[in-house]
Amino acid sequence: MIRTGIDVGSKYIKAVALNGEDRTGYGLSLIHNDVGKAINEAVDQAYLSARKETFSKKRFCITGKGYKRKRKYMEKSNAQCLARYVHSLNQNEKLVIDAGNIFMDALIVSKKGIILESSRNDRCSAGCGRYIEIMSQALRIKINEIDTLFQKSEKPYAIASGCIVFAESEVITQVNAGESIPDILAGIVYLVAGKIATMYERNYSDNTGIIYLVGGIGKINAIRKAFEKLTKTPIQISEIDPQFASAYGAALFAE
Amino acid sequence: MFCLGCDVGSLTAKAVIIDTRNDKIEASHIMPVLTNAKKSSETVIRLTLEKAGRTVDEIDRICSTGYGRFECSFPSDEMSEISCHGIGAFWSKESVRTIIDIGGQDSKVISVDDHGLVSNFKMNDKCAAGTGRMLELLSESLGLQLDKLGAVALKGKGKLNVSNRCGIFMEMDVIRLMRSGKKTSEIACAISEAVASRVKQIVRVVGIKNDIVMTGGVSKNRAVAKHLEDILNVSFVQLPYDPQLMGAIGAAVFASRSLERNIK
Repeated sequence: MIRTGIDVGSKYIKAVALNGEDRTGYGLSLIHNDVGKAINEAVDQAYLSARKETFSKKRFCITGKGYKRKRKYMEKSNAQCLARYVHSLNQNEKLVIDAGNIFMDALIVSKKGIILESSRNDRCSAGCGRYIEIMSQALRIKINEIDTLFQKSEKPYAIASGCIVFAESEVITQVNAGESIPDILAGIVYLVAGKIATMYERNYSDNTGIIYLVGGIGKINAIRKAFEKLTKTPIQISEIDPQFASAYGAALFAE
Repeated sequence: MFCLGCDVGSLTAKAVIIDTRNDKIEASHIMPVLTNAKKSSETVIRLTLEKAGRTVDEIDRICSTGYGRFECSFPSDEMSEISCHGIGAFWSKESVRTIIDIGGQDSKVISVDDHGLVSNFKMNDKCAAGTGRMLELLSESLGLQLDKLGAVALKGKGKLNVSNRCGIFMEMDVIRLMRSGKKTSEIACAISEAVASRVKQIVRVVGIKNDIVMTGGVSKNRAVAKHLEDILNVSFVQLPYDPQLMGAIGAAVFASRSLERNIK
């Protein structure tokens, strides 16, 4: 049997295929007008890397937003999937921060894998993936250059605002004023890491809790490092690509 | 005598030359900002002078406003854009008491007294969801040019909703509606409504006194103006000059007043 988890995000569809043995398949597709087709693209990719031809039985679980169910998929909330995934890694109480394109969710998962608390940015998307994307465009750099450039920063510039419009204008002004690109970028990285640190300290004021950072932002090492510098707390490394955490949790449900 | 007002905003730079002998606008110019405020002010002033057929030596006083007011390339007075929009609109039409100014990054509501001086104001300080730059980003997502957005939105019947909480949420809503095959005109209409309802929250704090006008670049978007009129239950008074120029006009008026004081 192959267990398939699908996570429909605001920008990407992530699929994870667990073949019950040693091989896990991953698939990623950019969301487009035909969401059903984009899902199939991600799933096919995941099967290909999990060698689907050896399996006849398939189970599905879907999570995320923006998809009208056409097939009989099991549905679970994003929070349930994340809790399931992190609980499979660590049986202590932990905080999971899912930092995606437009939302940042924080969940506290108990020792038994139950969600004790959850919160989400429901008014403002400051510091999420789209913010980083727009600021990178203003800096004329690519997302995958962030880690290298961040290391070159000597004196991070302090960005005043998390609002895309205000921050974009501030970044452009600083670029034109001749401020170093790595220093401006480091300012953006620290702003995002600061948002995550606030969520962490709200729950663990003594900085002793366990934290997992998942979602697209979890892939950016510079943000992890900045967070660790701000809170002196290490972020737990998830075994898989953090962008697939929710889809992996969904696949665990697909029994 | 001639006074020049220069308004370097976040997206556009504007300049106006006023002939103080007859209180008439001699020339004006609007252009997108350049790489820094100094270059923008220098260029917009030079282009306005060219239009007027004058040299900078013929200008008796300059006043600058907007974000870039401290970096004006010519010796000038400085005045906040709030005061300039207030006096600019009042100078253009004396009956004006409330000004709704929506620019590139700001939405402000300004109350002026019987002399055109600011008596109260409120502006967005943390979030730019109801501003020109956000409209620009959303029209890009819709595949429309910014200056076409208003006209397209007016064709919509107002059947859809777009979040007005954060620009990024608005953008996601727009993309979601496009994916579900909704008409561009309906989405554009929903965007205008969202921006108008965002501005309404600021208007509520300051209150409305007639006459009321809309200034700033977004005032050129007829759909936002119409939705604001509807939800506030008012009608905007039309100004005799381009409403995007009000900041620069106000700066020129302040320049002429300080010139008068110096002469006296």
